[in-house]
Amino acid sequence: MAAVDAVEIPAQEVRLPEHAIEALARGRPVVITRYGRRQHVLLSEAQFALVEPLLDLLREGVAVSPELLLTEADLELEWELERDDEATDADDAQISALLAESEPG
Amino acid sequence: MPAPVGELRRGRIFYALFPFTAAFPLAFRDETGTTGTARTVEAFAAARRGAPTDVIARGRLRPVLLLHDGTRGEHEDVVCLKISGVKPRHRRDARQWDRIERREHPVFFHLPADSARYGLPGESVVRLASLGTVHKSALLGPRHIGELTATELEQISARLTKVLSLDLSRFIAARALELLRRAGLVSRRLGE
Repeated sequence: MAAVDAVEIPAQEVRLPEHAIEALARGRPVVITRYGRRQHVLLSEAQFALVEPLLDLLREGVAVSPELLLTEADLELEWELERDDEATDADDAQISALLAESEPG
Repeated sequence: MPAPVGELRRGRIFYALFPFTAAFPLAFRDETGTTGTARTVEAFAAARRGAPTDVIARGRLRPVLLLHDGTRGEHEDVVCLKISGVKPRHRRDARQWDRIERREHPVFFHLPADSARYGLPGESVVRLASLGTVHKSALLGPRHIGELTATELEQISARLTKVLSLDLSRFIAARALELLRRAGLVSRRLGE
């Protein structure tokens, strides 16, 4: 399997704030945002080595189980939505309207 | 009245009785009408073997998205995806919801609150991991409540191939070859 084709930049060409460098050294990813929206994520070399095989599979178009792409929060949301058995008033109103339309005459 | 079969078109949204997935422990009733409870699937297998059994399951009328036309009356089921309403308590993770709202999430397809188009009571998500079948008699008529656009359906189809790990590469290659042949760009014998 080919390695991910990453762009390598010498450290002297990148200016990161001190706290971002410290975070990377401690193994914390650094997220770069633009107008409050996440745009880029920097990882330490050790962390990148962990996710590189998955990036490789995705790049090659190999079918990766979607479960592997879900976060804990995604699994929690799926679980909550599946068990959500509370009908809302709006649901009841919509169902009543359909029943009224079904009635003959 | 159940929805008439002429109404059952791919991409339409209906209210349907969609039972919750049966999970153990569950209650069941045998052919004599006696009810029992099985704590595990092994206990159920020991009690019932392969005998058809009435399983007591919860269900409710909920919106579903039809994935294919169901206009042949003699075919009883339609394949669909569940649609769930979004409540404030579901919006705990801002980053997750940012992906969902941008329609970039692998398993949740966002439907913004737009009752004119979707006919849903509020903001909802189509859950791509909730594929199931519904009997046509369990679709509440007399009509669909909303509909997705062709573009939205295309996005859902593309995502479903990933969720279901469908490998379409051979079919895509065969189709591409056929188009190239028609355009006279490859010989008849290539790829045969």
